[in-house]
Amino acid sequence: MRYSYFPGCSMESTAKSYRLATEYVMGRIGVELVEIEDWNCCGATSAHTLSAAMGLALPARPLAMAELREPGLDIVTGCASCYARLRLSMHKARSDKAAKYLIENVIAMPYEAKREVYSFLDVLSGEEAAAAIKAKVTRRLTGLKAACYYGCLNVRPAEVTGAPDRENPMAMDRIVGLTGAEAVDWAFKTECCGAAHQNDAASVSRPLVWRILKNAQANGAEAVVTACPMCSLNLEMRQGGYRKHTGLPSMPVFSVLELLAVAMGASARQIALEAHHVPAAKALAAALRRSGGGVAI
Amino acid sequence: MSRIGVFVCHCGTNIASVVDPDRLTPAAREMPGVVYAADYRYMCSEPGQQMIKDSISEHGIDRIVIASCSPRMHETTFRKMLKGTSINPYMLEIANIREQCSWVHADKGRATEKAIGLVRMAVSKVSKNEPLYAQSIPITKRALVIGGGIAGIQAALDIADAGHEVVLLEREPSIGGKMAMLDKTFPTLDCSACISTPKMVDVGAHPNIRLMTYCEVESVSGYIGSFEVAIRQKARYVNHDICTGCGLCETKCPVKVDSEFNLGLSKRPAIYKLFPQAVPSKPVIDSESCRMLKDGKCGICAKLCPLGCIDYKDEARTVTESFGAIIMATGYQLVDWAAMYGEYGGGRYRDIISGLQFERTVNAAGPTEGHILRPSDGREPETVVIVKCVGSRDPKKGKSYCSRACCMYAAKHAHQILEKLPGSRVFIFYIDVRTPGKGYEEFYDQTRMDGAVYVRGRISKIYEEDGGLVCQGEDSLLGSQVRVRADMVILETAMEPSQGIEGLTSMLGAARDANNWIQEAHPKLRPVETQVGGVFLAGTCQGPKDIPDTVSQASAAAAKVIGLLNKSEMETSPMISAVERDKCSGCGACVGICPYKAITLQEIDDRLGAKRIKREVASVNSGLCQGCGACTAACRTGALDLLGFRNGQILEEVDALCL
Amino acid sequence: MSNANEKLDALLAKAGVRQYDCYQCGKCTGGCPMAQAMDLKPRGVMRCAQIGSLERILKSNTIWLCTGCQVCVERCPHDVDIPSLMEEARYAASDMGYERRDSKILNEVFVANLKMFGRNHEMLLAGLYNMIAVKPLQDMSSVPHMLTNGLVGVKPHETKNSESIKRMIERAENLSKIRL
Repeated sequence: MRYSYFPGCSMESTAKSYRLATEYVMGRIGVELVEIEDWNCCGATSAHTLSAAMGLALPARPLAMAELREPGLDIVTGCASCYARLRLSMHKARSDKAAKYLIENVIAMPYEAKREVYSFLDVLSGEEAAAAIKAKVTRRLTGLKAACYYGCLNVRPAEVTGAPDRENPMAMDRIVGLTGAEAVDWAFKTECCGAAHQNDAASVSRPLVWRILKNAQANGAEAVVTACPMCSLNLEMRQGGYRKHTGLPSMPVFSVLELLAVAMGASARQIALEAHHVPAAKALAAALRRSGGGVAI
Repeated sequence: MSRIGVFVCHCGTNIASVVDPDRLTPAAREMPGVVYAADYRYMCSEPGQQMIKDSISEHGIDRIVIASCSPRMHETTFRKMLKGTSINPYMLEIANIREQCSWVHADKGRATEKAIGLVRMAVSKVSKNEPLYAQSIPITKRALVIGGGIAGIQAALDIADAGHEVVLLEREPSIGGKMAMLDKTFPTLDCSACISTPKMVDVGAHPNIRLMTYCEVESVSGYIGSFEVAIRQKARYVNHDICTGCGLCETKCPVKVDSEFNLGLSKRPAIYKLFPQAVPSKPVIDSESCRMLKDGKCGICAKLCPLGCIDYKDEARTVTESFGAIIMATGYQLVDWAAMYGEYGGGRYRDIISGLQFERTVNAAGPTEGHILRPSDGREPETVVIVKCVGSRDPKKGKSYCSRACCMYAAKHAHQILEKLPGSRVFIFYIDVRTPGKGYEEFYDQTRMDGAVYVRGRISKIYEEDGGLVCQGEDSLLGSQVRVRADMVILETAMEPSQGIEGLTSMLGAARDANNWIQEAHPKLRPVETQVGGVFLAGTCQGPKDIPDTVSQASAAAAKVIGLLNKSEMETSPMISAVERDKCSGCGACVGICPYKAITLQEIDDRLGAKRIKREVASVNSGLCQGCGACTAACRTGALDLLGFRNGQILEEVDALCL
Repeated sequence: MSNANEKLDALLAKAGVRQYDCYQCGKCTGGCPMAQAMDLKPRGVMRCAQIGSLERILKSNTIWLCTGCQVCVERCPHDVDIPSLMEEARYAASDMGYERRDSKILNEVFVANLKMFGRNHEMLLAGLYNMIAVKPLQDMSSVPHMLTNGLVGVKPHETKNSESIKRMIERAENLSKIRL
């Protein structure tokens, strides 16, 4: 299993634990990530808001680079926002000749969109990867009740993502299940967390985070698991107001890769669990204790 | 040389105000073969017809053209008129100078030119017409009604009361259909069972009705007046000839599976009656869940039965019956909303139920004995949200049509909740409220006055939080997002045609519309007939409707059937396909293309030089052929021709226009 | 036809939206995560498109608060692509100078950032935005934690070829100045 890899800007900074866990897990299960040479930012929300051409071209450049250097490899990214932007450029280059022409002229490179863009969830849900995960899980996170948060952009719009179920996806729930943790049934898996406007419209965007956390807690979750560094950061960093607003306790937020890493034996230090804004190690340690191993994390 | 008469109708001012008869009639007089032409204000009227008849004898006319309205309107009228004259009714052509000319054009000069062209075409066609003679076919005085819901029951009773034999066929173990599942019916709130079960009993007792429950149609052949229908009696494993329906067997059966009648809200044994008032009131064994039939272990019911009715070796059998007419009354089912609406939980939340499940809940004979209790914990709900148009008016996820009964159904549900649970609150989310029926608007008004809160907006999401169901939508009259915390949610889901409708309609050759409902022959003028002669429609198999409309349509279909069965034989249209055997190569292209299954290949004796041979040629069944002409276009050798519309006649018309 | 309607029709055509597909059921507004903060709800946007009131759409805060989460079109019975309409409306509003101030600051800081480094420097983005938008304290309570744990740093992560990315962005900006 080999992929061209688009890390995305957060992976280099705020998503430290996510990055370390990704390296750890992918190494363990034999997924080789070939970082796209000289990749650039996908443009996130701002680029397409300013200009359609910029919105399409920024993600297309790294895709074209990947196509040039590793024409046989599909592309993978661990960020929902990058995923949506990359996939949209891929989709447009395939389905809309005018868009393809525009893209190629702006990036000044050919881009044929021959390979697929996948998310970590797609990659980890594959049969081979799932079998490898099963083989590498050495300790179980028994009873850890986790709410799998997919985010809006991992699943929508359907014609771009191809996601079969946009209201109650299950791919991450199944992966979490492999660690021995319990994925709870809840209702806000694909509701928007408002990450795009947490800077420029903070006061009205905060409640989006809160209602997600609230529904997770109301359905018995003790942690939220994400598949995106932006979702993670947003859900975690904006919990101050949540405690004040709802009176509910704060809630640890992990990436699904961190959960897998811990289940595969990674120590807290190896994946920098201390870097979490909301203390994260305690819930994992409790789950490991429940599994009977009494292993320190 | 033919002697043609042309008769131009003014249709009052409908034609004459645009097409000038003073130009058209003289022009017609000059056309080849025309010996007489005249115009008149109303050709279809008594004096108009008399004028034509007089002219025929006076001028020795042997064929006529009438320039008037569409042949759909009065062709039959003029054919009947010709029956009293010396000429054959098929020596007639209609030039449609109203719908296809005066009504659609404003320029009088050019419209008149066009009318002249239309008449010229008709004149040249009629010159090639030949006398045609209708055949008559015998009629089997017996009707088959497929489907034992209220539509089928009503139709069967009406036909039987008129003195004709009826077989009422139902695939479930009991008749009754959806109406038997309902509690009360809008807008009068009479109890559904009280008005439908007496009819069910009447059906069971009627000397002219033979009830065939737990049966399915296996194949259909034949045509109007003489259908042959193979009916499969599914294995019941209970001998109904001796069973008295005492019910002892049901009490000790160890199997418990979801009750179909209570829509999963309760369990039933493997040997069961569909519901207590079932007709026939005798059980069947469901072979998929019976332990004895699956594993050969159990046999309790056989031990218990005092009359020895249980027969585990019972097998399905097929009988073939003859009928003169068939009524389709196959009804509807509700869409599988859970598969369509992930945003409503996709079936994960037990306290979201369908309207029909609510009917069972509120029914005194239902699983909660009429107490409105939510399924998850058996508590009485304090707040209920009713969501309309779930699956209806949703071309993306569901059906584009309106299911028609749900607005009233929702109002009734709200009324029942507010009545049975004093102090409860009901919110009805709607897009439009549609109450076109007698007493319907008044019922809706009353429901609002009862305290039901109507909120205009389609619910976007329903989710569970802190033990309640949060219904999130827009109050579009207020223009703001609303969330209602409900203890129970009722989804008024869309109707769709019953499962199996595709197979049944293709056996009969009946058409379905874009939504799979059975297509009526004409939406306004022939609403209870299908395109297939002798096959009629009743109730929701034709499209969503409520009980009053269903019953009306059933009686209408019955009247059509009675009219047919009252004759001993009937005339068929002679304008059907004919085969010229010498030209037919027996390729069979026509067999596949015929939508009415009217053509078969038949072996005939022939000669090849001096040798006697056997070969296959097409043969048209005059009872089945509807004269559509598809086969004539498909025929490679030109052996098939449509009488009354022969290729030669059509070409003659084209020549008249173009040459 | 008035000039305003021609503009609206062109905008709808670019967005791939037929305004009369919408029958005002409100499922979009019902599910919109930002609806409560919007001065014109998503259904209202469609209503304005139906009655020809482009101005009201372009002056609304709605188009700037839309997060592009796509939940409206996902659930719309008539598959009306409201997010695409929002996007085209943002372009049109920018052209007319109706841009929402905070959005404009953020987006411009973001792109300036990309022009410098080719990648997003998160610390710089937040810092510059807070400074220009005069919100000095927003999210700043998290900064000490992020600095101690090395989540953000002063040193930017740069592409090797940030100059070429800058030129690419400028090409796109020039293209976007051409409006149909």
